Formats: sequence, C-alpha cells, structure tokens
Amino acid sequence: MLDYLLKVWKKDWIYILFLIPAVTLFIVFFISPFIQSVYYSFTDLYGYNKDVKFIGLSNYIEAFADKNFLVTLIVTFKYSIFVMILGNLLSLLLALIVDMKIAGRNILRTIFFLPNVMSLIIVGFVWSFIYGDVSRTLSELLHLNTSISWLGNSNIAIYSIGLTAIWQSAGYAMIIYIAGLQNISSDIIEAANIDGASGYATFFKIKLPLLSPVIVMNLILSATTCLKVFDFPLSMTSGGPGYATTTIALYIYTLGFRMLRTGYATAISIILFLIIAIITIFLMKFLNKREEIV
Amino acid sequence: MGNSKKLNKPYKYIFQVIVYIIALLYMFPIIIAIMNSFKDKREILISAVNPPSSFYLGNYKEVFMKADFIKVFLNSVVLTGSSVVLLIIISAFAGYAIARWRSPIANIVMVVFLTALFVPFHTIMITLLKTAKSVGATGNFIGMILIYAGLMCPVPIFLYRGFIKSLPLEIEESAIIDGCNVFNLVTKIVFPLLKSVSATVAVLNTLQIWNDFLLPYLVLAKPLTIPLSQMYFYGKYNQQWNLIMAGFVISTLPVVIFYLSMQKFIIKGIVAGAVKY
Repeated sequence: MLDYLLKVWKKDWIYILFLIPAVTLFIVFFISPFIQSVYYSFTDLYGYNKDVKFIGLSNYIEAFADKNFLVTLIVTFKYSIFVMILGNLLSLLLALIVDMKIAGRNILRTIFFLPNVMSLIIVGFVWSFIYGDVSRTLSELLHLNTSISWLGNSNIAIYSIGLTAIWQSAGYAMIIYIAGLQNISSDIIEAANIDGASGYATFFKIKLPLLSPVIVMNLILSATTCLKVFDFPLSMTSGGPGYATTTIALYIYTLGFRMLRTGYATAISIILFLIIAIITIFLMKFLNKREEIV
Repeated sequence: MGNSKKLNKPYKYIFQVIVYIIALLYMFPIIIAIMNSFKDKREILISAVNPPSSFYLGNYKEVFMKADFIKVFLNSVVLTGSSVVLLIIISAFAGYAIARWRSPIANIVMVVFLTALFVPFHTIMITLLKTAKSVGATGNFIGMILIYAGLMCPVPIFLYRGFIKSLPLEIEESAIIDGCNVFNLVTKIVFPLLKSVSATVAVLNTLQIWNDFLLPYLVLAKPLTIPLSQMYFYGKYNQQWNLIMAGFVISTLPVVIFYLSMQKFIIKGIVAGAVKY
C-alpha cells in the first residue's frame, strides 16, 4: 500500500499537489465533522463537554418516543409536500408565461426571479409584516369581520411559511423549466400545429411528457431544500406557536444550542440526513427510469 | 424560443394584461416594504397599505446609524469576496487534477465530493462548530473563509472538472512537448479558458455566501454581516416595522443591483448546476 502510494506520488505528485488545498479543507470542515456527528449520535455528549459516555442506540430510541420530534417530523413533511407541489405548479406556470412571445418577457423573468436573490431571514421579516399589519389593514378595508391569524394559528402557520417559501423560491425552478421548454425541439411543436393540435393538446400531450425529467429534477431540488428549511421558521415564528412550525432543522438547532443536548441533537441530525438521502435516491431512480422511457 | 403558440390579437391583449397583473401581484411584498419604509411609526399604525404621505427619510437615517450599516456592508463585501476567490482557486486546481489525472484515486475523490451533496448542513453543524473552535476558526473572518471554501467546493469542482474534460487534450500535450511545466500549463493556458465557468461559479456562490445566515451566526456569533445584523436589529426593534422595512430596502438593494448586472451568469449557472443530479 505504502509502496503503491509512493509510486503514485513520484509519477503524479503535481495532481496530488493540486488536490491538497481543496481536499484538506473538505476533510477538516466536512468529512471530519460528519464522522464525529455519526460517532456522537451514539453518546451522551452534553454541550461540548469532554466527558462523554457511549450509550449505543439510546438517542435513536429516545427520538422515536419523543413527541416533540414526531411533531417536527410531521410539520416538516406537511411543509415540504405543500411547497413542492404548489411551488412546482407555480414555477411551471411562470415558465410557460415567460416562454411565450409577449412584450416584456425579460422583465417578467427578472421580476419572478427577484425574490430568489434576497436573504431568507429578511424576506421572512417582510412577510411577518404582511401576515400581521398588512393583512389586518386589508381585512378592514374589505370589511371582513375576522382577520386570519396567519402565523398565530397553529393549524395554518406552517402553510403561511410555506407560501412565503413558494414566493421566494419559485423563480429558481422557473429558470430550470424555461431551459427545459427551450430544449424541446421546435420541429415537434410545429408538426403538432400542422396536424391541427390545439394549444391545450400540445401542452398536455407533448410538452408535459417531454418535460417530465425536468419536473423530477425540480422535485429533487425542492425536496432537499424543503426538508432542511430553517431560516423562514426562525425569522417568522421562532418555531411557534408551541411546536407548530418547528421544523427538523430548527429542532436540531434548539436541542443542540439552546438545550445543549448535543449528543441527542446529532442523532436527530443523522435521521434528517437519512430521510433526505432516501428521498433523493428514490426520486433519482424515478428520474433515470423516466429518461429511459422518453 | 420558437415554441410559443401564436395567439389571436384580442385574446393576446387580454392575456398580456392578466400576465402584467400577475407580475404586479408578485411584486406586492416588495412594494409594501418600500412604501412603509418611508412612513413614520404613527402612519404605519393608521394604514399599512396606503402610499406614504411624504418621502420621510428618518427610518433610513436611523438604520444607517443604529445598525452601523456601512461597516456591516463592507464586512459582507470582504467576507464574500475573499471566500469566493479562495473557492475558485482551490476548485479550479482540484477540478483540473480530477479531470486529467488518469488514476482511480481521482474518481474516488470526485465521488466523495459529490456524496457530500446529500448531507444537509444541519447534520454537521454541531460538530463543525466544535471542530472550528478547536482549530481557532471561530470569531474571525479567516476561519469563516476557510470553512466556506471547504464546505462549498464540491459543486464548483464538479463544474470545472466537466468543463476541463470537454477541452481538447492537444493544446495541453503540445505545450508539454514545447517544454512547459504542468503548473505553468495550468495557470497560463488552462485557467484563462475557464473564464465562463469561473464567472458562473463566482456569481452563484456570491449570492449564497452573501445571504447565508446560520453558518456565520454560529461561527462569527456577532452581527458582522448583513443578514446577521438584520436579525439582531429585528430582535432589538421588534414591531418597529418602519425601521425593519427600511432595513430590508437598504440591505437588499446591493444584492438586487448585483443580480441585475449579473443576471446572464446567474441563469446560466442555475441551469448548469441543476445537471449535477
């Protein structure tokens, strides 16, 4: 082994030299923390105390009996499904609008993408104001008797946050949908038009099937961002009321840095990793199958 | 481009008007924020949706003073700029090595880098902070920059590797025959060819680092960058929406200007980045 490495170094030292900076930083700030996370998830680490005991699977067993954790799981899934479905529908609609021959389409694209360049924390503040004072003023203007407590009602607060996330992120998926639409050969569309296909039929029978790999790709992208959502609930509700908007990522943060239960928090962070990995791999398998068909 | 269906004239106008209304609705939160940033506290209480009665600039003055905006803005520029430069340098070298090194090690390294994309930041944050503390990387910009370079290099490396692989080998081979050493070959001949990839890497990572909240919140733990300072500001002036909206406008303006001038690269980068899956 050592002999082999020595031989490699003699012949290809320049490549190894090129890799060293990136690989070193990656090992120190990613690989090593990741391995430590796995290790500490089997311990009773408290804060960053040196005194650590190995406790086997206890943290994982505790997690599945922890009512708060189960609530955060449900909250995160509700949020993710809501944002993935509604967000992708909106993105596709925006992409279709921008892809049409209308005046000012570049300006429209710029507008729809604009929220995407803003800091999530600050967007969260603006929407807190909209869900509060603005919503109250509007319902007075419209003479509604009751105004909705968008962020205070524990049944709808997570969806209100989802709506903010959709507004902020739709432009991103829109860009990928536009690229997908432009990749569809214009010959196919022209042939369909000559054959007398309606716009409706061209969309559902030709464009949509050809877009399906792009749709799956966007679902993968939004699944990974949704499942680890953190900034919006932090800035809009701090996870409340109760645990109604505490997502898994926010729960890990609270456990680790507020309650100092770092060992238990790493166990939950490993569960989050597994959830994301399984869902991504599942969707990728689906994507590959789809591509074989198309 | 040619895919768009042609609409009949009257329909076309109605459709256009509907589209513009949608766009205006999309802008609603931004318009509301800008309008209210010019109102004083009392005026917001009366109505949060009316246009401001005058261009009252007091909120802006207060935010500039109280949030120390110019200092925070410069901090953000320095932190983002240095992180992106370091990220580009280490990723370009690593990308070249992985693309051109005919060794199983190169492939293994790439696979390990790509596997990292499955791991959410929250899975490593607790132990990353522990590591950062033990190597003295907390509370200072140098540590922060090194952490960004280490965590964000996988995607740029992947993009560089793909682009370099598509370059014809002949250029590099003839340079070697002419007696050019590998280091000069890479820095003088290959890197200039990477300008377009570097531009996309730069703009996308600039946006990401500029807006990042959680990592600097943990590592710097002081309101040094724009998102951090806005969070502290919000906590301190809770419910003073006139100040918070002015804070939104001035902290978002730089990034909007950046976006408008770099739009082409951002869009190219998103499409290129999406292919990684």
